[in-house]
Amino acid sequence: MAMNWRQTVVPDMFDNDIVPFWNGLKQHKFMLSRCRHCGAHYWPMALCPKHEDNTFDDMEWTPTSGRGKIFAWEVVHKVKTPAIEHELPYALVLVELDEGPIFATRLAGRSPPGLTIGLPVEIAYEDVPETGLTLPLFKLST
Amino acid sequence: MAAANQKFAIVGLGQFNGRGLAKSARTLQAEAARLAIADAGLDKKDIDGAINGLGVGGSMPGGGGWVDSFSRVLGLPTKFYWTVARGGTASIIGIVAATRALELGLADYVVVACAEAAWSNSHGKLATSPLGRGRAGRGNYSLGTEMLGFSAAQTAAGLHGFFATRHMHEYGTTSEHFGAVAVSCREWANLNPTAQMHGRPITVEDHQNSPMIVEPYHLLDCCLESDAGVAIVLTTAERAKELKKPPVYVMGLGFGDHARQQWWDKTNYTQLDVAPAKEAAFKQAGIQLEDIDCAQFYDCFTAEVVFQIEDYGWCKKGQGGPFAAEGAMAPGGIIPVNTGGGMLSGYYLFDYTGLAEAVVQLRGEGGARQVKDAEIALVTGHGGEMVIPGMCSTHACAILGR
Repeated sequence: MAMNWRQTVVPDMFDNDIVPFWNGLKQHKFMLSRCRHCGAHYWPMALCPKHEDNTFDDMEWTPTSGRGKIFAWEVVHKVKTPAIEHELPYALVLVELDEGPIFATRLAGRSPPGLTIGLPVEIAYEDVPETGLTLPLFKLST
Repeated sequence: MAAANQKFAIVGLGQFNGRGLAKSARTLQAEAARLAIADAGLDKKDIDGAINGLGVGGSMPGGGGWVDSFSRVLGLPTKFYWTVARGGTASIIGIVAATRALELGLADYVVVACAEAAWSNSHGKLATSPLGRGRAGRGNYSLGTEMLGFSAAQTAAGLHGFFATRHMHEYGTTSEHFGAVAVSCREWANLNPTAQMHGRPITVEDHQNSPMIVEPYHLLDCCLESDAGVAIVLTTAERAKELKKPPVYVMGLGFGDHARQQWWDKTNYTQLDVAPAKEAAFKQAGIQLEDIDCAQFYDCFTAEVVFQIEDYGWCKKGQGGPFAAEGAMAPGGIIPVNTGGGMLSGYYLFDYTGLAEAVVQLRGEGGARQVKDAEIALVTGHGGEMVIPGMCSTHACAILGR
């Protein structure tokens, strides 16, 4: 049976802490965890290490630019299952977001040629009607 | 040299590997333990402590939840049976737990065992999951983003390839350099009749021509899949002297865990947290780098070997690729690395592959691959169940000696 991997991403799998991030995506907002004191951003959620007595109440999910640069990349040429073979080759990237954190994601569509570290990229929201979720894929900025 | 720390010793070793052994991981683990107990010249009734040291806990088939224990399967009269699991550092964590139990007098002889039916799992009925053996599930700390194509990638290369491209970018390391690591391990494997890839020599050209799995990783950059089991028996130095095999002392143990700075410290992507692990283990053992006769590195992929040879200081940071290309880790090189073939060419069983090989070398049982006068061996582990894109955050270091 042809399997659409997009439908395998379902809320049941998420850690409770990450739910605000996925709720933001539904509204096409790219949220990061932000320190209320110094404004530093984190992915995923973490207590800002710059303030000794921080609590989780000192962190808030806030919309961000959804832009960054490729920090590292790889191109998947082989997968474990025939069901997504038709999407090969696809690129997985670590994005160094403009706000600082590293975000791991996939470039939409097939891997573009000439991927290099430093190329600018941006969020490419992909709605999945079957699950009601939106996937945080990225694309090369033009 | 006189070993500074010789309180506890490995006195028994059981190891085997193959493909399609058609047994559960639990049975393979029991078999490894049985072999280790016999190797020590002990009886099952002597074993009063057992440690189930696995790579991954609940997500591994047979690795957690409502399962049987290898100690019961084997009929060991143990007072405790503990599970430790932290990726590829489980054997060294198991040794920490075992030596502390011996120190407290909780047991006289402790067996630490691991097994996996990885080859059978990926080629049998467990291989049919559309997205592979994902770890998603409520309560499993999933971010969801691992489903964007990471967990579908063949092997763990989808998690580890980033670190290779990053090292290439920062230091000019090339795919051919990684190929030299694969060739070096294969040369050792060809001296080891029990290695999975024994008798199948390769060249850097073969590496370059092997299929691309996750660029920049070719097939020959990836470790093997194996059905394998390893177990060791540990006891105190006094008891060790009375046993059949020469004791292999646990001289030093250390850990590093750079999860503390993960995701925002960008230096994490080209180095492992070796520094604190090395400092602790070397200090306990009273040794320097030059004292090490062979190194058994965790080699899930070729770049991890490059990172470690640099991070331990056998060459300057960034020079691990050229170091490999000079044959410095191969038979006849400066520092013998992964002398049984490692996980790239020997067999895959987390840090147990290197642990078992270190014991073989220190006993002088290495045959054609024996490192002359080997007295001190380094074993490393690489693990941690970090969410993507976490480089395995934990580094474990064990110094063994005779």
